Amino acid sequence: MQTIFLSTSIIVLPLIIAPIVYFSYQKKSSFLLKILILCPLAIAFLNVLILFPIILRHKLVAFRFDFIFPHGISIYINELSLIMGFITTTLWLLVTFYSFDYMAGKNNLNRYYSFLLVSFTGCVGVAFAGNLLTQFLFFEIASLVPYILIIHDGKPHTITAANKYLYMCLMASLALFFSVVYTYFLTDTLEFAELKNLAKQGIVLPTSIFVSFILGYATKAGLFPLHIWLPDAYPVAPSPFGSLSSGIMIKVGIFGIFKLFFEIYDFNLINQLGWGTVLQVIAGITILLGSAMALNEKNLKKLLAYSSISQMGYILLGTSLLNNRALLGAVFHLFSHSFAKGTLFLCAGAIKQKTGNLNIDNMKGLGYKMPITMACFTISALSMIGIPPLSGFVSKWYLGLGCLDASMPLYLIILLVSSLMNAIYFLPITINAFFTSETQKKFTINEVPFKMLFSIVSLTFGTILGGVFRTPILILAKTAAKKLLI
Amino acid sequence: MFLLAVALIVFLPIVASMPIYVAGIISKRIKYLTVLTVTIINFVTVISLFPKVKNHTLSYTLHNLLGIDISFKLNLVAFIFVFITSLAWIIVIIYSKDYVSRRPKSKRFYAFLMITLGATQGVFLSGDLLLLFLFFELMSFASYPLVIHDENPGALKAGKLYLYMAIGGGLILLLGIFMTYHQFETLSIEALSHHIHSLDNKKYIIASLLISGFGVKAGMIPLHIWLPEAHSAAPSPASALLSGILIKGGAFGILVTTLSIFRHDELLGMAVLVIGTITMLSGGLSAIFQVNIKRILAYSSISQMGYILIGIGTALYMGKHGVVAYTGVVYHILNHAFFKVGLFLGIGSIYFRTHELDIRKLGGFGKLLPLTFFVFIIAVAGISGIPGFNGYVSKTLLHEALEELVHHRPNEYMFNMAEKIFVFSSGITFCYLLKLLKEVFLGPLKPKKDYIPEKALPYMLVALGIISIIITGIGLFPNFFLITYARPLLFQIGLMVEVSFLTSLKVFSIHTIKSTIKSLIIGLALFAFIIRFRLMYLELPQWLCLKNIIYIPMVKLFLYVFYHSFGFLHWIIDRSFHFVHEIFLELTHKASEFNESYMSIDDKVSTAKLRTSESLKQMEEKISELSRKIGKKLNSYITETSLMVKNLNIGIIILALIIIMVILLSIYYNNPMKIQQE
Repeated sequence: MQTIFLSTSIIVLPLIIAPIVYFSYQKKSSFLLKILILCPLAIAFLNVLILFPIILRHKLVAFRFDFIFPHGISIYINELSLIMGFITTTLWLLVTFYSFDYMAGKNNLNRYYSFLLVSFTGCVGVAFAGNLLTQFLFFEIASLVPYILIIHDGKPHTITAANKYLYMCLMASLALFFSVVYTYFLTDTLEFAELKNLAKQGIVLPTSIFVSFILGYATKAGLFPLHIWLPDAYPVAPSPFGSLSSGIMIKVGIFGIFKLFFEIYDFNLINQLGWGTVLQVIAGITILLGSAMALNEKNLKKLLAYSSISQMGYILLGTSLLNNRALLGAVFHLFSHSFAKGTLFLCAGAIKQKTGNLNIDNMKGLGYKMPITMACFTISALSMIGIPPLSGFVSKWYLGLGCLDASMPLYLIILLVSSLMNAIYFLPITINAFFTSETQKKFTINEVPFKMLFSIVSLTFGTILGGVFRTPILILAKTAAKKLLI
Repeated sequence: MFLLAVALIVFLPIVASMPIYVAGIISKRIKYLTVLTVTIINFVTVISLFPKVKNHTLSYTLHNLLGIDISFKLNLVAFIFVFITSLAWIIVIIYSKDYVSRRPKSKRFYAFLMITLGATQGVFLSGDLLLLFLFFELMSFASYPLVIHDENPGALKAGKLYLYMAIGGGLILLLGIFMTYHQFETLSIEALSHHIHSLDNKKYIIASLLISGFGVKAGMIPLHIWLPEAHSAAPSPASALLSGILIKGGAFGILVTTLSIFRHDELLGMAVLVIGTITMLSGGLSAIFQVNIKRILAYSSISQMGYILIGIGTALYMGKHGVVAYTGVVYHILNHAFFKVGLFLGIGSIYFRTHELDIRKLGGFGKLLPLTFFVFIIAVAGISGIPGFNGYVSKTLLHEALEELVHHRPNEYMFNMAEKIFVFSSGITFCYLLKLLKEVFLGPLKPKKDYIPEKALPYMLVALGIISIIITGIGLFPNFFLITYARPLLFQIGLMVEVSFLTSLKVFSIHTIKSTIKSLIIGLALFAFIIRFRLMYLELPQWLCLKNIIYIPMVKLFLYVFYHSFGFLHWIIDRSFHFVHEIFLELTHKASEFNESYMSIDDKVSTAKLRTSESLKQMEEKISELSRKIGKKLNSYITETSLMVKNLNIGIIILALIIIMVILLSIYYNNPMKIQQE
């Protein structure tokens, strides 16, 4: 009963607060309203923390509300969902806090904050969904509502870029709708637990369902060849959106792939039919393509977008190798990437606010102006490269071992080449910021306001903690990887 | 207890770097005293560990960190590295009081010097490959600001090469570590040494990956290209540490891989021996053809690493019989640290005054700086292996080991060759150092300026004095080291020797002195040749540099192909999406046009009907009005859809769409209770 209440409040509270914010938020007032906005997110964060010991004790949360929606809203929380829920709530809470300073003085803030809350429900809902239709519902919210966040400034080129996102998302939802309907037509059930049982009994759903599921999720996750909306949408959207999208929203797509592989299909079968190999190749191309495109990119946000594409490839690779350690690496990378890339986008926002441009050639000597921001930027970039003892290394470690376990050393080499590329495009930014001769070496500190700094620093802290210690996240990831492969 | 020592040796400098930086803002004196204190604590702790290490290996395992268990370990092999690091650091810190403290950015220099100290000690104290890798990377990153300290374009370029090579090498190393862990599920050096020979050919892949990963740092040819650039770009105290100590990080890695893990392997030993010979010879030859003092010394470091590699290869080849080679390796590591630090610091004293490194523009400093000259001569005597100085002992041991190898396998032509090259290379070493001595210290003073007198910079002299004492001390009493350190070491690593073996080893015998004199004569002859044919200022042409003919074109080509192939792929997908999108827009446009024309026909028909019948007129009028309204609405709806993009409140439409979809779905599934309850 307690768990039902906890998980319901995570999903429902933001939906209740959102309309209040929409109709009452104004530029001037609003200290109380800011607290009101933070309230559901903070409660969600606390609830997730309370859920941690419960899930760690190998209890699952599963229940269903039958009185709404066809098939009811079904909630199912296991280790994987909880990791997803944890990164979602943490990032959302910190990014919203960051937005209070970053978005201050901009127009249409009521719309921004209310839809921020609604899309939170979407993302967290996908993680906690217990049947396909519930997942589809939340998936739609998570993919369509962010459109409003992207077009926030309403300039023409913003809208063209955002349309690309919108059209692709619509295509994705059509594909998903097809597969959901077809699955129900064939199996008469939509619950993941029952679908898994059916898959175990050897009942195979047709390939068309698999393909159209993959199409739907891959679009959202920005996997090759459906990644093209990412580099266009990120530079025009406000930075907090970049942080959330790269940190969480595209991972929603990956999360769907997790469900598809391990709950709707039998993973052994995916391996036998060769679909795993196809996806591994796609993952390899995604990794290399993202890294390659980021090499010559001068716009920091665009660079981060390409880097995100490449990192999504890491996770897909870990998933499609279908062994324990690769899967552990993939699940842990959900965490390490979302924290590191979230920080990088927030730093990009801070740089944008202070200097007004995002060209990486113009960042010389920035380390002397914004030491804390740039230090956090550097730490997160090192985590992306995979330098120990940051959390990026832990995920790379398990991913690499997974590649060898699957006797695919080629993918390990791809991972390492991509790490080298990460170094080549991230490190010059740091070097320019701290070690150039062209600026005077006096500290003229001009840091961003406290709220922005707080979010950036706490996310960086998470990156370090996750790498050094055996956090509950790693334990959960281990259990999740073990359970998915049963 | 050991953990406390590790904390003092490794983590105290790293943690102290931040307060040192902050203290530097407040007061220079406090900053310097803190740095000195930390370094001395480091040294004292290391010394105090010696009696314990002598008896047994110290180790401590930390569970549940970094995803797997990690362990610190200190045995006698690692002890020599830890010892030279802490001692060299003290010397350099004393020297830097005069050299760096008077210049800008000294805060950053000292802070990163401390982090580098901690990281380097961490490398030597690691008990498993993962921890070693961690500190190895930290060492590379922390020493980067030392390399580019002057921040001129040349230094930045060299720093970039240094960083990328370090990361690239780190990734190769990581690949090797991945394979090791995958095979054995452990990375502990102790455990690996028991298991490694259970593999067949795969162990050679692992070994070559690990050795080339470490070899990048060790300046092993052909992975040395960053070394001359970075070592010559850094300020002198930093170059001294880079060349004297940090390079040993790589050597330590190779030592661990080969002698601690593999222990005895003829094939691998031969490979290391060959690479070592090539490194030794070509490093020495390149050093002759340089005009930049620091580049000469950097190539000399490469060449000396070749000596160490030869010793490692021999010891690996001989296995249990490699006692002399093993002793030679650790001895040479100890010696090289001190004479190379001495040479770099001596050159630093000149650079500090002239800001010039080109030997063509320097000369005559022997009279101006007699004490520095004296110390420099001692260091040169040390590195050239003149009897009575430290290099002589270790070089003799290495040479003895090679000769033993030739005796051991008289049929192997290669070993014979290696022995000859060894003698020749020692001659080369003597030759390029003579060149350096003559050009910089002898002849008329140039450039002519008023220089700071020697006595004005006492800290520099103190540092140089310590080094000269160490060099001559080791050289005059070689057995002290052999008895107090080398014997227990050989016992500890399980190379059983009689107690009397090392003491009876005659370092100063007619035979050994003969071979030394042979190499010195070769050196003198070469030097005479160079002077006779005026080859003093001959430089190697740029196109002969391995970096310029192989590495840079290769990397450029790879990046070009990599970027453009994937860029093209991305472009095609992007364009095709745009194409589809434009067709879609065109279609909606056409549809709305068609609707308009249809409406105009409709209008005409209705007016015609209006004329023919008056009674139907009103009704017709109403109908046409209605149809027009519907048509217009349809029209506006379609145009709205195509222009939907410009409407900012689109979110509401989307929500409505979702709701409609949800309703449709709920109609479709009119039986929601189909699923069984869980």
